[in-house]
Amino acid sequence: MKIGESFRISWRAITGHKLRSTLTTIGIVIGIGSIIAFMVLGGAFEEDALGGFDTEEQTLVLVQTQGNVENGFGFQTFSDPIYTASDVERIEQIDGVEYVDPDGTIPASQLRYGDESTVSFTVRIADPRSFSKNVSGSFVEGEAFAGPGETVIDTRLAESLGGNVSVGDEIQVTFSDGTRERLTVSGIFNAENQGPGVGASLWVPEDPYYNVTVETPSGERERAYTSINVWVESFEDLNHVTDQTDAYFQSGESDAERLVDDDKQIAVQTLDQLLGQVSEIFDQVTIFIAGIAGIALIVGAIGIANIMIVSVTERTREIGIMKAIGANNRDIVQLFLIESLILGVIGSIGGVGLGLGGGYLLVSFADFPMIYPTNWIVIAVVVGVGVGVVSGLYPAWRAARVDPIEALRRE
Amino acid sequence: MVDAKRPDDSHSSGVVTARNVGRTYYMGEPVHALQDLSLTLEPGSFTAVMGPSGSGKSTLMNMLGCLDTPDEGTVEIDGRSVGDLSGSQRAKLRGTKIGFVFQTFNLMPRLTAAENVTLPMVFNDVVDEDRRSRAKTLLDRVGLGDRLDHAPTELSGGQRQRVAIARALANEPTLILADEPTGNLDSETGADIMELFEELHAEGRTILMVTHERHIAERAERIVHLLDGKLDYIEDVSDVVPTVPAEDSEAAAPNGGDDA
Repeated sequence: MKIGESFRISWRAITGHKLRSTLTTIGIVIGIGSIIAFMVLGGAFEEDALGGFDTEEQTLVLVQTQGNVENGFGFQTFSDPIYTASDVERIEQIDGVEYVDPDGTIPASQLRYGDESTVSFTVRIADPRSFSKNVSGSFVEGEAFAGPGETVIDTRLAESLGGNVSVGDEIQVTFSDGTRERLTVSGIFNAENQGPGVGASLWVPEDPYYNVTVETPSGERERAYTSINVWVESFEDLNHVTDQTDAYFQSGESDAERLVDDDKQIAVQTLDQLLGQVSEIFDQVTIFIAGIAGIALIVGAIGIANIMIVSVTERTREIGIMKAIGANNRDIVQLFLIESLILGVIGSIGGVGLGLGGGYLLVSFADFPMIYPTNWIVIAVVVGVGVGVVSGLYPAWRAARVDPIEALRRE
Repeated sequence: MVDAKRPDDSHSSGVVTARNVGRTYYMGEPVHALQDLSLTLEPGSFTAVMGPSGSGKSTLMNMLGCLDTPDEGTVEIDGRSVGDLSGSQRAKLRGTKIGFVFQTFNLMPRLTAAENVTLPMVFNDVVDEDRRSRAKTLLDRVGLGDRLDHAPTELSGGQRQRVAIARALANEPTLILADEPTGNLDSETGADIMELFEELHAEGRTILMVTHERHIAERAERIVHLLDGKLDYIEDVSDVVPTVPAEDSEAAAPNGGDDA
């Protein structure tokens, strides 16, 4: 029998039991749907956190302290001040390095702008050249500070100060050591790619405000930073500088290497590598959750198998008739396999629809960008088809084994 | 199969022969359903099979219809020995050489009349357009040209049996096997169906019909009597006028032909 004919006849059998077929497919719809929905949500979360970075041509090497997350997936970044001024100097001497921009925070307790004030903010140090690199955002207004007495604030801070801050205004910062500084806002920076969890910030020049120090292994006190951004002159130098920097932190000559805690590592990565590492963890979490959702799919497969077995029993007489009028075993297998295949396909198409719809709702609720997990949609459809075929195999085999003499004797 | 619409002379070799056929079922103890039975169906012949329950009528039908294979002896259809064929070859033979008509009609419940008639041709890979026109021709032939798209549930018993007969003719079979074709019909409808069989016989088709009603059996050319799985005797009834014509006003009782 031709495959097309089987589809026609099987389709007739499916539409002949609309309620039953619908209930059967719902199992697959829910299985595939929840997997897709989680994939959409996970992908959207990742996109929201990392998506704005254009990592391809960035000439940045990051040096950070990383350690494993206790009782969880992935890694976390630590901000112990272990990278000393000597380390910074040594890295600056590597060929191809444009400049080194170390990170650090200055403890501060309060910030005032006119009548507004806030206590939840972070004062960071920055090299003014780094603002123009566009890695982490762009200026909404104004420009980088030219020197001491000026500051760049981010849009979140501007919002928490009432949203009326503009370039040229003065803000007053109270540092934790009790000193107060009046700073003129030189620019408002939209740090759109900082990701969730990074609070309101302002940036000031390192000198004269930053004075965090550590005792170096050689017994001196030196300024120390929490991480280092190494800017490279050209993209061609990126790998070379990454390797050299990494080598320096393994050479035994660096202070950081000796200051770092035993359970943490110094990671030297390009932005691309860092994002790859992060997105890998997102993927793992997403797949883990989707795997749990996949249990629903197994239940769905059992549902199809169950209903097909019932269907074979119920249609024993019809199978007998078909055999009497010339159907061979292959025809019978084909008919029942195609029937469960159709159920699987309808289920997975419905599941993709439900998953994208449900995912869209969740994503818009969480205010993430919508993404379409194309790979997973393809995988879902393939799995749905596979589930249909696999769960139809046994019932189809049983159908083929029906003895026409027995079947026709039935009333 | 396109030019197989009428029985041509090449089918005259289409003799169905059973030689010393035996079939034993094992249900706790062996049951000899058929023993040493030999029977030849000449092309164009009309044979009735009679016998009490358990005499082997159904087993004989299943043998000749390639649904079952003999333990002993051979069944040959168009010169091919059924026992030597694989399962799918037998399925093919059933589809093309045999046309079944059952007591309970056995139509596919979800398919229309035309689709039911088409089905054997679907399994025989006849192209779509040919199937449709042939189904229409056949349903016209049995007087149901206006019921093509009716489901079996929308048809009367007699109409269903006509659909089943049209289906049996679909692939232009060598042999039409009818198992009590009038058993589930009232006598008037049954008589109509028998008329149809007589017409098919007159067209030169080979028919074997199992029945337990003598007046039905007498419409055939000969009656094969089975008893305890063996051939009892063969009775020539080609010249016999059926004992009770179904239209007979005096003997309206459906079992009026009971001559036991």
